Amino acid sequence: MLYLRNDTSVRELRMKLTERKRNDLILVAILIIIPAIIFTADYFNRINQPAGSVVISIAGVLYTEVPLDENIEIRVESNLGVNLIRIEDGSVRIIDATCPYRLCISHSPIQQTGEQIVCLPNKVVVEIKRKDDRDIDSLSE
Amino acid sequence: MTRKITLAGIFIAQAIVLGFLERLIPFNIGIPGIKLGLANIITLTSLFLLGPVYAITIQLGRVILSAFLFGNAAGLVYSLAGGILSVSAMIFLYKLKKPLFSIVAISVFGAVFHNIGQISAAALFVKDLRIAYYLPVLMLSSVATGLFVGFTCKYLVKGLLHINLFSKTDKNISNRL
Repeated sequence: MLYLRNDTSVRELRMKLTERKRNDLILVAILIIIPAIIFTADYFNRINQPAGSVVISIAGVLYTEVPLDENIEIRVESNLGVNLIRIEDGSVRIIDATCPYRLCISHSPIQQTGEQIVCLPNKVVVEIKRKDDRDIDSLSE
Repeated sequence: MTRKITLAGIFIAQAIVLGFLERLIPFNIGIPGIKLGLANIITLTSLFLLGPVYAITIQLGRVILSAFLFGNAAGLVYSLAGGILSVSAMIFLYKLKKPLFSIVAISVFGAVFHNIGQISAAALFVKDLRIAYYLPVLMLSSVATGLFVGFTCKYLVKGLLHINLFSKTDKNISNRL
């Protein structure tokens, strides 16, 4: 139900409403297009990069780093628990863990630079990095 | 005046409860940091029904109180950054000379700026700009949740205008929804 001001006819109000709907659509479209562009730009940026390396850290401390193109299983053990990580055909996943909810196991395999799997209870972070990413890290530390 | 202050108190309480309920809903799609933002329903409703000053007060009250109740100091920094930026962005659109946007678009705008605020705070806090990689994902999801919250507010404000409590509120705002 619309409360009409005396000086506004129903027709003018309808015009205003459709105009506002159009503005709404434009704003929402912009807010969708901007991240979409960043996404695609980022995607093409990533696929042109050489195979990176898998960096595993516990509580922010580097545990080990292995090349992504190696097929290997790594047992990550600390006093918080154990995570079993498998690197196979350029994709990484956690196949077994001692954490209570085992969310890290249900995480889909990662293969692109920048993707991570995090196991919060065990404070384990598995991240795929570019080979030259190391110096960025040492800067930010 | 007294009526507005009392309402502000009720709104803060409702926002805190909504924020708490939201934690109970398993809304997990694999990316941390994505949430519905139900508390924004209250902020946006109060912006339309009580005005910008009350919206800011309610937002600050909610953020600080829920940080004390459920969160920690680090969480407070993120929520404050997100909360203040989000409410400022919504007031900016609301206060435009010509009301160009409806409550739904204002909600989406606020949700996106909430994420921008949080990510900026996180980037400053961790001193690592690469956290901004998260922003596109969060922006897309906040457009979706912002639409949801916006439509909820649209019908909520429309309904609230009919009850006695808001009989003195300017009815013209229903033309702005």
